[in-house]
Amino acid sequence: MTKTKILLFFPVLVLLGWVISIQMSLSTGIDVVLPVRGFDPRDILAGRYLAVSVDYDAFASECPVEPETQRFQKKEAFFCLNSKKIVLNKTDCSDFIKGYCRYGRFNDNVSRFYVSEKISYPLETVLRNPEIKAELSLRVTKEGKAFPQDLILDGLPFDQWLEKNKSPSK
Amino acid sequence: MTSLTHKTTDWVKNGLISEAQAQGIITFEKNRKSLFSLFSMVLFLGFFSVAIGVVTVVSANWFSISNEVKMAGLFVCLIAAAVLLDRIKKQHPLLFEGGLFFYMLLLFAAIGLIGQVYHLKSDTYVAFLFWSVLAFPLLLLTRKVLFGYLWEFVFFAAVSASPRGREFWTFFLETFPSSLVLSFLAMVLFCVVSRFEKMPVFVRPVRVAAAFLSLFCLMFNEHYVSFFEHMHIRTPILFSIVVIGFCAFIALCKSYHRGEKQALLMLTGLYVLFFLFPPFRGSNYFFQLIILIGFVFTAYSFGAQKAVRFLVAVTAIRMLIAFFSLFGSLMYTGIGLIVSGMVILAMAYACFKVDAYMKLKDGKEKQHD
Repeated sequence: MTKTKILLFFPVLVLLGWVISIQMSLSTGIDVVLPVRGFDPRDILAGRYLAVSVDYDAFASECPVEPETQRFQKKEAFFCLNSKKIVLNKTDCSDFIKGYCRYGRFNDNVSRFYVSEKISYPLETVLRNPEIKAELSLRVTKEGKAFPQDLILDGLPFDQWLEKNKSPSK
Repeated sequence: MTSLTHKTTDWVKNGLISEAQAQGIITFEKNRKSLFSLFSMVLFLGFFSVAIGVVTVVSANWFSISNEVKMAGLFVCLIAAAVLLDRIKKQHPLLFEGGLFFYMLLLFAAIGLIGQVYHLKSDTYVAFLFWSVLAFPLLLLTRKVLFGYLWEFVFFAAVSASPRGREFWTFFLETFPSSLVLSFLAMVLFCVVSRFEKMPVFVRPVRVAAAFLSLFCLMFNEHYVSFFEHMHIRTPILFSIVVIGFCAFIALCKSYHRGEKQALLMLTGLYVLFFLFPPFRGSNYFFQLIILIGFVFTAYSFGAQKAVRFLVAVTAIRMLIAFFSLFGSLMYTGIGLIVSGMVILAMAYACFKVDAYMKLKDGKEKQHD
């Protein structure tokens, strides 16, 4: 293999390695469905997405309320999938989502669910509607990293829900 | 091409080249497809448009296509582009450069698409930093410095936007708040980088950026902070280390002649002197002007005629900026402009004389050789 070939294929191999590593950790992960809130901003590189965040306020939390000056600092924390509780120590927890506490709230590093630009606005409207139960299906790896899999609306995957409710904004 | 014809006719008249050589030069220039030829510009524009189109289509996130098909399509496109580029490298160098540009932009789309498929959250700087890593080997294949500018700009911006980068810049600007010190550091970088002949794709953008920053820091008054006003103990320590290191570099660098070494040491001495000088009214303008004149002298010592002319123009502009900011009323601004205009004209005359002297010196040296 010539030097040119190696240099040209280097990015392809790195990207392929990245995709394979994600796929491998996903294949051993476990599925969990959690309630979400969200809206619809845009990303210059990857397009439209729903900025969703899992609504952890419904769960018991050990996130400390720090003094004013330290509130912005991140403190490692875990959402224990067994006990459905936010804990600072994961010793009693076999399955967990790794995240951090800040401003007394838990953040799981999951805040994006990419959708087509065509359906982003209707979906945003749906997420703002308190009558519709919105949940995010996540695949959680052994390391505690959560990957969004699907957006669940009233118990249905979002594409099926949209199909069922042709004009959800009305 | 007309100007080239005029030039070659002139060279033939003066006996510098033969008629056949003149014809050869004209034919060569006609057939050459340079980076800024109409053909290459249209080619690059086309590649740019297609690549941006791909990124936009990816952004549209056409969800009727399954993720598997999207990923397969992405890798087929990347592999096809890599194979094609490898094939055309020797036969069509210009097309290869255009294709490489397309391939670099395609990598942006690839990162975006993978992030989209797996719903990955990351800061924008991480994506750009990752792109810098992916695109780095491609720079080793190109001869176009333009790619170096693009890559280094993205890399620098991404690193600066990262938390560590922001910490570094906060530390750096707290340590060296004075524009004069920043100008010195940029000049040091310029001088050190200028000694590297290899890898022009990386070296030239750094050199241009350092030169620009070094001059830019001497153009305005607003960011002058005296060492005596904001004293950090680390500031004189780090500044001294850089000064000593640079002096050692000048002394040890064999490619500098004696006059060049003296000029650079003189310039360093000026920076050190002004670093230690207590502030007074208008001090920054005075220091900046002296250093700019020092630059002109240094460029002259290096025999860089074009740089001398350019630096004289920069000095003149600096004086104009000073007059614009010094005087409030129209009367004073007008008088200031007349005075500065006369000074600039005097400088232009001096430059003309120096130019003639340098040409004469050049001629004598050639005769001597």
